[in-house]
Amino acid sequence: MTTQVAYVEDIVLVDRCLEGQEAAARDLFRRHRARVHASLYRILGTNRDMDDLLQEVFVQVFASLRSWRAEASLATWIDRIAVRVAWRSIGKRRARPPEAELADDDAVASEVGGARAAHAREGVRRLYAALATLSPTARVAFALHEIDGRPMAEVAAVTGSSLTATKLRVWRARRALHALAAADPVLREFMSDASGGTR
Amino acid sequence: MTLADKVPVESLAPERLERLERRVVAAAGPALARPQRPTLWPWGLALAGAAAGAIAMYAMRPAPPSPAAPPLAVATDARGATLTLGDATILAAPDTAYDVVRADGGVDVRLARGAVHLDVAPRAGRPPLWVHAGDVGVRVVGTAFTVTRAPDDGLVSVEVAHGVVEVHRAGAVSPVTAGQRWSSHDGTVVAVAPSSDAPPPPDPAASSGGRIGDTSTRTGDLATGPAIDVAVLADRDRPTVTPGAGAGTTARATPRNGARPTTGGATAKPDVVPAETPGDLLSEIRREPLPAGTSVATGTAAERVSTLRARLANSVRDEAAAALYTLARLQFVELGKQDEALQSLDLYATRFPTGAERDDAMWLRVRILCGRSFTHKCRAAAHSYVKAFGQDLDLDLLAERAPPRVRLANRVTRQP
Repeated sequence: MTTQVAYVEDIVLVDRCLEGQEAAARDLFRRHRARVHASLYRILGTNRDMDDLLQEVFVQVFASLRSWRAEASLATWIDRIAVRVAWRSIGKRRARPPEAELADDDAVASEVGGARAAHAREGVRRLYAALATLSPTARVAFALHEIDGRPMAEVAAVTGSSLTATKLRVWRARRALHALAAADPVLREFMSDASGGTR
Repeated sequence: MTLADKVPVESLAPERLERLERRVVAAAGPALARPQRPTLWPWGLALAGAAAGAIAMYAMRPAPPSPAAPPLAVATDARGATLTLGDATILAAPDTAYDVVRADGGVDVRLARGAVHLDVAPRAGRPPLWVHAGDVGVRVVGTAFTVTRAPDDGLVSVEVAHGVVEVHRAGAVSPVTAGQRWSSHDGTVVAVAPSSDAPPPPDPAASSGGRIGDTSTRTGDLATGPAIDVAVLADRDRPTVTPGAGAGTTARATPRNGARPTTGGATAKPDVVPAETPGDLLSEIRREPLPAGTSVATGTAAERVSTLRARLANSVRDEAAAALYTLARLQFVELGKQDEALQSLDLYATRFPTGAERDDAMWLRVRILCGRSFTHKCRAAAHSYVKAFGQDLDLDLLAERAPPRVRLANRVTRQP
């Protein structure tokens, strides 16, 4: 029942957007905003430029809405666009030092206080610095699976890859990160506590 | 604790979100607007005609040969190997030899001996991926399957794990679907039971630091050896790079023209822009069982159709409604007669607008029409469904302005 409800909801919502209903466009944005934001954040590790990225995603969504054929769910279709936007953003950011990217990130500090916050923040910073050394495809696959918590099949769907290729990318990313963590006690400790995320 | 727990998403300030929403909604109108047709002046028409002629002349010239990447030869020893070609993965059994040729944008895997298992993402408009074994060709659109070529008599078999492939041989084309096997012995397609010997894809996620394909070792079959990655091909079908192919391997991936293979993670440049590939929502919907309807005595489908028609003609309201829905379901599911099923559903909507199976009947209509193609009929059926059951199903689409709501599909996103 859940699938069929989501299916007809998507069709009707898209039709109303295509009819030019502003309320429908707003509804679409509100339904998918949090998920897209979370995915972008977990791929990129920062809210820097997030407004522009979210706007880029949704403008592309509306510009391409006529091509949605209801073969994938609207959420999956939008996530594919978000992943492409993230992927391009990674390419633009590669020249920047990772410290600069995470300098304004207070996410961890807001969770816990004092030395623990600083330690956790440093762990996140090093994780994303390590992720920045990976290929964008490996980084995106790893972030969506290990950090964003998506099943492998869903990662494969939104990246347009086969399941096996996705597993390989995540495995390679994991191996590369473990290799980096071997020489970095802070990253090693940060990742060792997070082993429960491996699926 | 997972990484997701340790990397909480920093939420955006409400005013930032409101500003963003205004920008997005304002941009939605122009983005959704259809492009305006330009006015064609007479001189414009003449110019267009001349340009069309020139283009036609240009298009009819002999096409230059498209540059083809050098072939890639793979030969495995007793350990097998895994090769990643963009979003396709090839697992080779021990003592297998094949070439990978890329021409005209497609990929051709030429199996000389042994067995390969392929897991291929939907090609999504790209040229197809082919596997050739002798005079047998297998056309792949997006699936997972195994091709085996016997070393002694050259017999070729194709076994499909999921999806569908086309087997081409001597001008004949045989579609082979999931759970079926085709053999060059007699050219027939037979169903195969799931076998414990079936080559599972490698599950690197299940191993930590192990060799790719270690999870396949229990079968002693495919891809128990190292991963091979050679940056020879280009674009989306280019092999990716695996650092450290494992000691002791003798699996080889050699460009036929002698180009040096790239190893050790040297090609950090991204190889794939995520593609627009069909999702599996329709497949998921097709897998969902339809409500059964009323019970019918066993017999052939034709006998049950007769029974249901008789019940429809001779029964009172509720029983007749159940018989009609069951008839539509039988026509669609068992007989594959979609038009007849739709006629039965139309009749149901007319005769039993408040029948007990009304929601099931309307959903069946959506499923049939949208399963065919995404047409206005499909959309109209979806609109009717929402109009009929929107309140029951907690759909807020009928509201003039939907309240703020975020639906997270299949998972929970933690927000700080």
